[in-house]
Amino acid sequence: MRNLGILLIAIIALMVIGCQPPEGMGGVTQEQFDELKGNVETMKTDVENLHMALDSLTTIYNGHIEKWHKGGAIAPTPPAPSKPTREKVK
Amino acid sequence: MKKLLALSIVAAFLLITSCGEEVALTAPENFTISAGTDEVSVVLAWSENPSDEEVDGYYIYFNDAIADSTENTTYTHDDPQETGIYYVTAYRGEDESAASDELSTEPVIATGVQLYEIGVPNEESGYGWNTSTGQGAIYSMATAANASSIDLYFTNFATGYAGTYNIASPDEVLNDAGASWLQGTTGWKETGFAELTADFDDVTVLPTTGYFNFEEIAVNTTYGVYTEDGHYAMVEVQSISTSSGLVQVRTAFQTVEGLAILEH
Repeated sequence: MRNLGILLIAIIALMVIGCQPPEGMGGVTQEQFDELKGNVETMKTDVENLHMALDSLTTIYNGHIEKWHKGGAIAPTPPAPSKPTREKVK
Repeated sequence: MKKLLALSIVAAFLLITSCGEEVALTAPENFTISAGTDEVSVVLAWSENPSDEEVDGYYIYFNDAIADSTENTTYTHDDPQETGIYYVTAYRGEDESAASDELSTEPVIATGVQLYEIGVPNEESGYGWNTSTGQGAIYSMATAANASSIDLYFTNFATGYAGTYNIASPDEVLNDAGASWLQGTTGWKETGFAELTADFDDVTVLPTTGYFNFEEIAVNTTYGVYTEDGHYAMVEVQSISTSSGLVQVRTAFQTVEGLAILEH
């Protein structure tokens, strides 16, 4: 009877230890996991948007090169630095 | 015999006193020179000699030669077109006094002056003259601390120091995109500049009008300068390096306020 009691305690102890989450999981809940998944999806969308913007910029740049350089036209010069108004002192 | 001796003494006394020397002439004092209202003539003035000297008049000397004489105590040297040293003497008949103080209208020349475009870090771009001595000095424009001493600076009116340079009135720093750290500061002088057609060594008289708040500069070109203190000067640009921002000049400054003669 005493041995049976010891065996029972040992089984319960093993069950408790066996039910602990493995190290590294840190006790992540399903809600936290879903939230993380949502963030990843958002980042994925952002990267896709960035790709689209880059493509658009590349198209504009290529158009500029085609128009002003390959076409032989002279690119407009940047505006000259603005001087103060020239005024007569004497 | 005793009476004859006494008579002789009295006669001798009368002879000596009647032949006494005239009062010696003294050099005219308080001699000054200034510019005429036309800014190209030189006005001389001095104090009248004591009446017991009974002077006949005064000789005006210019560069050690008598230029004229006058009975007055002022004299205007009309449009001399040249600079030089003036002094006056008093005369009475053939007698002439010693000379007064000598005063000069010759400009003060400075060569090998090295200034930098205002955007060059850790270099000085301000220049100003001492109105009494005519000596010029280079000043930092890192702050407004030297504002009251600076008569001109060099700038491209933009950040960095590429492009074309200008000789500019110090108060233009408030409108200068290349002098952002000086915005809102006070005390800067207003100077005018006029590009000249004559070379530095051939200039006799500067124009008295046509001065602007800045002029774009070119090598081997001379610029007339009119300072806020009312003095005329000129600056010859001898070299410009837009890679280093260095501008090398020589200058001439007229210490007589308002006198536009810069012949040298």
